Amino acid sequence: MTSSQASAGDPVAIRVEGLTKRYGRRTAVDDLSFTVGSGRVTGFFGPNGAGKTTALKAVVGLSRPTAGRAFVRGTPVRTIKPDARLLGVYIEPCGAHPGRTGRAHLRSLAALAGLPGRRVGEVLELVGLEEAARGRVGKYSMGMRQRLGLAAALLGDPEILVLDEPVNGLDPQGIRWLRTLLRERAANGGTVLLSSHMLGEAAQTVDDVIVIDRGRLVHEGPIRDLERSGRSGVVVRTAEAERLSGLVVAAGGRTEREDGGGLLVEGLEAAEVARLAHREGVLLEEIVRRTASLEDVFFGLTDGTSR
Amino acid sequence: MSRLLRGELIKTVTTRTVLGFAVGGVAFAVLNVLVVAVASGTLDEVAEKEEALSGLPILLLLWGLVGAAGEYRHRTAAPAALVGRRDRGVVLSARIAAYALTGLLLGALTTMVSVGLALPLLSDQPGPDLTSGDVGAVVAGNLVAFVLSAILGAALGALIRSPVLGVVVLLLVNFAVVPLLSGVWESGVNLTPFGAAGVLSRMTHDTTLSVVSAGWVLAAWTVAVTLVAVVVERRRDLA
Repeated sequence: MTSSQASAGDPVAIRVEGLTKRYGRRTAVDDLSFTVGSGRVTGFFGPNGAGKTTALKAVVGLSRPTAGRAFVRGTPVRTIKPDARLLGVYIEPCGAHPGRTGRAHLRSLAALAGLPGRRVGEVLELVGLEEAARGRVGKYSMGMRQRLGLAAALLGDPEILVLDEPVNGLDPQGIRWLRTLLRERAANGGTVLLSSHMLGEAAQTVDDVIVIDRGRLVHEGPIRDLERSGRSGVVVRTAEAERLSGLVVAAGGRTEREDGGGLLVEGLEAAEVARLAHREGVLLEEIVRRTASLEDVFFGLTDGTSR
Repeated sequence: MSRLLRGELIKTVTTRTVLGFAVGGVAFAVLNVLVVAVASGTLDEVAEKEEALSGLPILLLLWGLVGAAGEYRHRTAAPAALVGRRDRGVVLSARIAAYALTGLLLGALTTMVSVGLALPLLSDQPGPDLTSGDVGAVVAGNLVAFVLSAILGAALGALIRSPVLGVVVLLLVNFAVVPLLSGVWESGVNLTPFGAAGVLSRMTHDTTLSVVSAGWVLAAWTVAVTLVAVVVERRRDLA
C-alpha cells in the first residue's frame, strides 16, 4: 500500500464490510462489518476464540476472506501492495525466526521494505531492545518478543497500526509505555486498531471499541457509550423491600430483587433513595452505590463466556 | 527486486542453518572423495574418476526446502509479505532467488573441497587422467545441479510449508519411490529431478541421458514447480 494509493485525509482509515471467514464447516468470522476512524485508537475486543485474530489477518491481507471485503483508506486490501509506511502490523506470534537475532530480523524487514538501515536502531531504542537485539530470538522472554513484534510494526513509522494482543506478556511498565506510545501516535494523527481480550485493561488506551463474539459484531462505538451502558445503580437492604420498591417506582425509578436479598434500584441516585426511605420511615440496613465495570459490560455483551 | 533479494539474503545467512549445511556439504564432499577415490579400488575410466568429484544435489534441495518451508513454520513469511511493496508471488520469487544464490555459494564451497582433495588422489590411479576440460565440465555440471536443486527445494518448501513433512517426503521419494521406479522403468528414473541431478553432477555415469539433456530435464522440473509455487503463494492464506 503506497501513500499515493491511499488518502490520509480520509476520516475512515479501515472499513470492513460483511467479512466472513470459514475453515471447512467452522465459521470463524461471520458477516462482520465495522469502521476504524483516522486519528483514533480503536479497541477490537472479544473473548478468546471470538475471531479477532482471524478478522485482523483478513483486514491486513494475510488471509483471503470467504466473503466480504476490507478497505484501507478506501482501497480494497486485496488490490493494494503492502507498504510498511502505511500499515504497520503485529499479529502474534512475532514472526521472527528463533535462530536469528532480533537485529537481523529487523534488518531483513527494513531491506525488504526499502527502509534505511538506521530505522532498525531507532525502533530498537523506541521499544527498549537495544541490548537484547544482539541475542537470538529463541532466548527472548514473551515480553521481549512482543516488543520485537512492535518494533517490526513501527519500522516504517506507519500511518495505521494494527496490533493483535499487544499487551500480552508486557510488564506494567511496558503496558504504560505502550499506552503512551499509542496515545501519542493518535494525537499526531496516526490510527491504531488493537485487539485484546481484556477490555478493562485496554479501555484506558482506546477511543472507540468494537466487540465481537463468536465471529459476530456485538457492539461498535465510542468507549464512553459502553461505559454508560453498564448496569449501575444502588443496592439497598431492608426488611421492607416490597414497600420500598413501590416507593421507588412511584418516584420514577426501577427495582429488581437480587439473589441474596438485596434490592437493586436504578434511575435514582443513592442520596435520593436514602431521602425517600427516611421520609417514608423505611429502615435501611445497607445502601451501596454500584458502578458497573467495563468487564461486567463486556461479559454482558459476550454471554460472559471466556473460551 | 534488488531490495527484496537483499532482504531475503539477509534472512538466509543470519541463522545457523547455513553453517550447518556448509559443514554438512564439506563433510559429504570429503567422504565422497575418500570412498570413490581411495576405498573403491581401481578407477581406470574418466567417468569413474569424475564420480569422485560429484556433489550431492539433494543436500541443496534440502537447503532450499528447509529454509523456505521454515518461513511458514516460524511465521516469518507473513511480516515479509506485509512490508514487501510487491505481491506475494514476487516476494516468494525473491526468496527463491536468495536460496539459489546461497545454494551457488554452498555448492562452490563443496565443489572446491572435492576438486582440491580428489585431483591429487586420482593422479595415482591408472588410465587416462582427467583433463582440465573434464574437471571444468564436472564443476559446471555440479554447480548447475546445485543451483537448480536449491531453487526446486525452495519452491517445494513454499508449497509444503512444513520443514519436517518436506524432508520426510523428499527422503521417501529419493530412497523409496525412485528405486521402485528404477525397477519398473530404469531409464525413466533419469527423467525425475533426482535422476537428472545425479546425471548432471556425475554421480550417475552409466546412463542413456546426456549431461546436457539432464540439465534440461532438471531445469524443466524446477521451472514448473517454481511457477506452481508462485501461483499458489498468491492464492493461499499466509497466516
